[in-house]
Amino acid sequence: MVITEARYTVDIDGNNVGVFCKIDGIETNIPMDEGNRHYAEILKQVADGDLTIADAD
Amino acid sequence: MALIKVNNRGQSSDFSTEVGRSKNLIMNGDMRIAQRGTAAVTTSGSFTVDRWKNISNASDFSAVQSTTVPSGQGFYKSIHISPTSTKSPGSGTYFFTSHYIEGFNMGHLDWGNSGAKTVTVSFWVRSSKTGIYSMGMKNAGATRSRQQEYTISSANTWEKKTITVTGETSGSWPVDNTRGIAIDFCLAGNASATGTVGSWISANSNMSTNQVNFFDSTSNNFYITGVQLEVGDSASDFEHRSHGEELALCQRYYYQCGFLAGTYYGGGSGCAYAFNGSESGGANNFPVTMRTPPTVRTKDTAGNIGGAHRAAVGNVTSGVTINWTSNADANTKGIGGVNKSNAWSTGNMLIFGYEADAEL
Repeated sequence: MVITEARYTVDIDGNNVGVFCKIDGIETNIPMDEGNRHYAEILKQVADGDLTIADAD
Repeated sequence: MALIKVNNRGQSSDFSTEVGRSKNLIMNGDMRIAQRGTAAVTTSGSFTVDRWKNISNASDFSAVQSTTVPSGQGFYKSIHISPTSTKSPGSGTYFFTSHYIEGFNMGHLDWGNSGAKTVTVSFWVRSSKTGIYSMGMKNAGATRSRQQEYTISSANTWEKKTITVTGETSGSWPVDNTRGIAIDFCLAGNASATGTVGSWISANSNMSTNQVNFFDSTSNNFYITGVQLEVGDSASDFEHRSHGEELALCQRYYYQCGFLAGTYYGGGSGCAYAFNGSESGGANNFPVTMRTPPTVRTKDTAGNIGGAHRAAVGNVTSGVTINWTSNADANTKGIGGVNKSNAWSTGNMLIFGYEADAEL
């Protein structure tokens, strides 16, 4: 799973609630929930130093 | 007055061994639900049909829903797998088609405790390659696993296989919304192969060392359907659930709404009202509560993934994000709308196809 161009998305109060990224080149929305397998993979890649999540626009 | 005992649907008279009215812990075991579509898939991590995932060390296969089925059994779909290139069973090779049972659905098995219940897996299989195949089970951490062998004796002939597995009394098998039992039907490989068959081991294993190499020819064909896992030491007839029941079970893990369609307007799609130039709100409820807040991909009316359609205006072709809430429970029930900075005007009606993925 190749994850690129990750950036946070925020709710109406400005809290980070999701990550918008490309998975294998496809635009994808991922909620920040550790039960979600894609978010779990994001956390792993961040911990491994392979991925950085940019601030929300 | 004489009293009679009326069994639940299926054959079990022990209500404690079934999930709801169902005795079969496998979802879509007859391979009929294919919400993602019926095109062949070729990459590791892809789903051939709902709940059935391909795991391979290479993109060297084709997997597709098939109408080749055993006659007289009530099945009308199967999974068909064929190699697109060959591989030799080296240490880094593997291919399985896998099914994951959610922890919440196996609590009654009491695995990890002394009272762990024995289960029986039955399935119909057909292959052009005869020999010994492996069916494996493991927990989420792959700290406990078990391999079982079965033999395909006649090429290109449907055979029903039955494997009884002693309930696992050790290891971690959480009763929650995470992965419970992973069931792997291996077709080839030697990565983490074990010579211990028919017993639980304290390590990951992917297949038996006797596993035949189905990937030795691109002319090979493998079919499987009618997979059932039930409590007890024998297999009963396959439980044919209604289409609506089976679809709803699958939609806890995957749902698409207008995502496969080339065009859509209103019905069968997501919809939201733009309350400013960058945000929108709506009530796009999933048909069932999903296992976890799902990964979501949107699509505009031209088929651009990441897009949405502004009714009577035109498509926003990329960069559309989901209006998540801070409430995880709410995010398992639906999505409120879509956002993109300065992409539309207040009052626009936004329409979007979407898919939601909460697979294990």
